[in-house]
Amino acid sequence: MSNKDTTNKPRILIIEDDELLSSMYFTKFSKEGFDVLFCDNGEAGLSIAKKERPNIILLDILLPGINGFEVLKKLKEDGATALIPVILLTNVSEPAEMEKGMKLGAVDYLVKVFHVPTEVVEKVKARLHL
Amino acid sequence: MNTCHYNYLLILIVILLINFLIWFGFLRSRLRLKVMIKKATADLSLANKRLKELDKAKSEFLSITSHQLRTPLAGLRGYLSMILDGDFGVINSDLRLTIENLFNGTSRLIRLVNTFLNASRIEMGKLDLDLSLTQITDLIDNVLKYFNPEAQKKGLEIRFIKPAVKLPKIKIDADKIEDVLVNLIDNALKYTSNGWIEVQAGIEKNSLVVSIKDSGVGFNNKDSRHFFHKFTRGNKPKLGIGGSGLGLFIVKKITEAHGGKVTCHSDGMDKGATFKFYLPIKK
Repeated sequence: MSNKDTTNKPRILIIEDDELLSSMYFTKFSKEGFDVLFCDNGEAGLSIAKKERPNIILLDILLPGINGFEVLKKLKEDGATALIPVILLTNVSEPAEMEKGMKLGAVDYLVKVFHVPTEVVEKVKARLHL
Repeated sequence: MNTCHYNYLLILIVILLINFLIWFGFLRSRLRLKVMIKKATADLSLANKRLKELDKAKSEFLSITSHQLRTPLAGLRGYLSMILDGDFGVINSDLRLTIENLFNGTSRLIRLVNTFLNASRIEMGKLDLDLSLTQITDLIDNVLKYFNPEAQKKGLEIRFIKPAVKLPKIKIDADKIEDVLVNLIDNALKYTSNGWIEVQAGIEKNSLVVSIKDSGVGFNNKDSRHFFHKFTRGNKPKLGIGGSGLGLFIVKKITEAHGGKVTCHSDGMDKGATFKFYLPIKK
């Protein structure tokens, strides 16, 4: 996977429609030394992912327009984004949804309410071997 | 045919007529009764259907509301944890204490929302188990880590007595058994104002047993049969203990879904309580 990032910072894309949460994750990941990209809907997320090639994507499921599962499916179908690891970060905690997300190719499934930002950062760093 | 014969024939006809009238009346009443029973059954069935629909709507409402509540709560708890982590600069000890209280309060609120969500899932028949081989002592360690700040704040000692021999991994739904542990330890914390909480894990016959014992207010054993029903709570208003009355209901449903059971015992008021849950070890 190529990364167009000119700095040495790991680049993360956060697709999250809730302002409070996106601002929280943006602050946390910025403080942890990440180059943070974010958007509040699936369509914009797909286009940013293709253009910016982040190292990892944090993806919400309940989004306006196309939902997170559809975004994940499209990311995995597109050769340009297929190898970018995607972590589903949502408040939907039904086992069936978790299974669906993992089957579609997510590398992890985190329930926001159970993981404080530090834990989310740790999971991302572990995935990127940082 | 003489007059006597005519009289007999007349009497017979009258008797037959009376019989016919009685039989006809009986038939009519029976028919009317049948119609009434049919109508009453239909009404009952409709009422039952409406009640089921209402119950389903209530569960769905609870489920949706709980999901909606989770988002702002995740933000609140997340920001508070970032303040405690020093992401917004160093904070003094007084402020730290206040933020820690807020963080614990938010965590408690999240547990309550989760309890509502779990209860509505059970009501909607959505208690699907996602089984995987799990080491129960790891689960207990995780849950105790979560509760330690709250226990410390109340001045309670919370200890885990591990078995001398490592327990075998068993096939369980780890998230749901974690909910069982969270509910039972949360309960022990609520009903213990000083002393200790002791968690123990071991094997009895073909089951893995986890007990949560406390030095709290205890209960009369005759009251305990209601504890596992929905919206039933220990009657301790003087302690000002809050709760949903759903925690033990969820504990029972989850352990039973695993083929296990949950029991409780107390030596009496102010003599502490012990809750035990059993999970079968399937070979």
